[in-house]
Amino acid sequence: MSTTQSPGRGFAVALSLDSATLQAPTLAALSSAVLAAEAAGVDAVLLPDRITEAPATGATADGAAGTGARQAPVQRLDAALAAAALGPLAHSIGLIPQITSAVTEPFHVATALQTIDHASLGRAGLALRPGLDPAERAAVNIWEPTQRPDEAAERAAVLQDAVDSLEAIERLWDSWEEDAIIRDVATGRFLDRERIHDAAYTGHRFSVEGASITPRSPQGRPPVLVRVRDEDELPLAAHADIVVLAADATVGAEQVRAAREHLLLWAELPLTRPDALASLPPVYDGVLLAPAPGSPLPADLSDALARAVAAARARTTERTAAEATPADHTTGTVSASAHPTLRHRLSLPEAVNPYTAARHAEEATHV
Amino acid sequence: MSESAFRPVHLVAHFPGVNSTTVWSDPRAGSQIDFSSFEHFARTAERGLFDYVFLAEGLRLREQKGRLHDLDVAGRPHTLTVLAALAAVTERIGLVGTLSSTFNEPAELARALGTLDALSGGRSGWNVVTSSDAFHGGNFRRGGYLDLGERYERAAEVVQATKQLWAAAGTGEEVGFHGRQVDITAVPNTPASPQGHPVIVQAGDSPAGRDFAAAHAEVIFTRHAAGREGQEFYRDVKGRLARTGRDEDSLLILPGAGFVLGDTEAEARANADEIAHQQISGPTAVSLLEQVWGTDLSELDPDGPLPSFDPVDAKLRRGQVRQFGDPQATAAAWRAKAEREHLSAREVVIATTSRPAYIGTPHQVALALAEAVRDRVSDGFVLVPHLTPSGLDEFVDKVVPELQDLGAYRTAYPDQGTLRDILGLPYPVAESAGVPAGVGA
Repeated sequence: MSTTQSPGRGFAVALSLDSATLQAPTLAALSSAVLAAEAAGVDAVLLPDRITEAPATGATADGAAGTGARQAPVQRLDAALAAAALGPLAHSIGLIPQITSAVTEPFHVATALQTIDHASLGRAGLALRPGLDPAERAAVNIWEPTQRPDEAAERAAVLQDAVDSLEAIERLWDSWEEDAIIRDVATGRFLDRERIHDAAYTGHRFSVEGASITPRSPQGRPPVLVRVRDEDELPLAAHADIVVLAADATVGAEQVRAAREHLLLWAELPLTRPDALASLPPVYDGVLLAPAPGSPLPADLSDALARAVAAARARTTERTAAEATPADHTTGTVSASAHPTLRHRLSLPEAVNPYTAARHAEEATHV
Repeated sequence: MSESAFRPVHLVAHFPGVNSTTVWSDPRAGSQIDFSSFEHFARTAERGLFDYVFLAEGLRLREQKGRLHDLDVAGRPHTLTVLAALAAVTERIGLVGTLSSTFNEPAELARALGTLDALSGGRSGWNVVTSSDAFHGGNFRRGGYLDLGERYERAAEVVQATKQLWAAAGTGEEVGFHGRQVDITAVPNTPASPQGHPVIVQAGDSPAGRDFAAAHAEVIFTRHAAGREGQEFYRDVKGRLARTGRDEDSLLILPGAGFVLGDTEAEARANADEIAHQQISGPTAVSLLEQVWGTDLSELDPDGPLPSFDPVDAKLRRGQVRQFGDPQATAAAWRAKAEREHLSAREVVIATTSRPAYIGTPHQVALALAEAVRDRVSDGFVLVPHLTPSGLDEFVDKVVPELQDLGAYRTAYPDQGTLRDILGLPYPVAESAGVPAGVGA
């Protein structure tokens, strides 16, 4: 179970795939792009998302929008549902929907990710974004509107809420031990209730009392990805497995890496410049490739991704040689297992259920 | 079908739930959580040309006497994401989930269901439930914030806001909804629905629930499954439609129903008896008796008599709709039945709690279902099998062909592929005053 294997020896390539950039917002278009990325050897696809848009130019009644050319309204798919639908269609690529903690209940985030993990046989990841745009909070009824908005205080509150959400989500993910379902006909018990634990979490703005309604998923804890730009966002990294360091970040890579053991650090790169991958400093463990904001997916998506994966494999070889340890499972050396999990593919240590670990430790002392 | 004496029967496949109806002790019972179980179940229902597959929503694990209830199947997926995964492995069947109007936000419901419609080509539906208790609320940001009396007000506003967001989908228009319970502003970013909007299903039974249904619902999922009681419910609810200016055919009434099959009627009855004993094990019988008696009965022998003392008024089960009426009256009725028929405690529970079920040969079951729809007990049924995931297999293999032979059931899905087309429901009239299509392009 537990392992001292350090993550990130292989160099990972992930694709940021905004469903708004697809030719049509359909499952066929989405799965075609994701299967192309899978075939190119990409490790994971991140699905960006948000609950609301700026009004399309000229479409509002009050006419407040600018004078620019009229743009087609954004059409996007809910990322969690899109990832779930991709679960049975793709076979090895990781599926990482972006979910906004200021909008979606921690309980719904936790159970949605467990369900995607079940449907993909262990390939789900969670990209949690705080939701710093006030328009997103206005789309839901869980934030009290403030009389005199204090931007700095609101930002701090939303970031704290994101950290709290991650902690609540972790507790929900761990609330069922793997062997909680016993189906004991002799006693009539389906569950061993001693192996299910309330989240019992109280954060700054909310609490979660009970256990998850979803049994432990294949990965236990799907990898958590956050994007960090400045020092205020650094506390998110302490709850993450993967940190994407923003291209314009004001915090340093080493500072982020110090936030947690086994943390993978990914750089943001434009999809059009996979060659830049080769010149990244050695501190990085992978890249998140993204098309330029607002631009559609390139026609030669597969070529661009194949170039990036080739460059990543070269880096993997360098890193492996430098550390004189066997190659791992990232890009190009996918495990022989029929269903490699995303944690496994990224060389993250297996998630150990703390209750199970404590129980086993106690049993060991009584032998 | 035009020569048939029967009206078309609508069938819905209810994934077996987290209660004693679902048998887990049978060797054929599979995982209640692996996606392969959901896939098998949905594809079987699709093979049987069902209208839709239906999933409940879990918001908290059930408790009895302050501890997790451990006798029933427990643990289920997040409704919307498992439906989305099912959209990828099915082609025609509708996908409907229960989603609380209390613990879900309208802007999230609108975009999630809008996405499910986009992923499935317009096959989605929403069963609106109005849970409001503090026990479920304990898992959510606002807790049990809603008084019982406000839950239909909240439900109505959530449905209205969600419909407004759907109407604006694909336009880039801003939607503001400012009610007493819902106060939001958003620019929806999901595509416009291929079926106007997802189908609205509702399960309320109270007068307030029936009025809500008459105003908003397109399908009612009810427990009134049989005979005169079903006919009265059918007349009552369809009668309320006129007051809201709706046509009778714009609302389908689909009660939940179990079924048990056998090669002969006697064999079917024997099977039903065996299943009932699997559903109500000794410990489950005691657990249900505790709910009526309001107190711990762990020392009671389920194969002996009912408790000799009267019930006390206490709610021991949390996280589940109360299953029994007045405890004193229930206890008195059960005691009278036990004395009259010489039944043990467990046998009384089995005899009084079993769900309405159609029991017989495939032909008998098909005929009974078709007759009930012909006699306007309902427009069809939400079938609740007792086994996961294979509980529908025999029905689809044996009863569906019988229904088809009676001329009471489709032999193919309609050419137009949305859930609305499958159910024969009208498309909604555009409610938005938004930008007409094509303007300014």
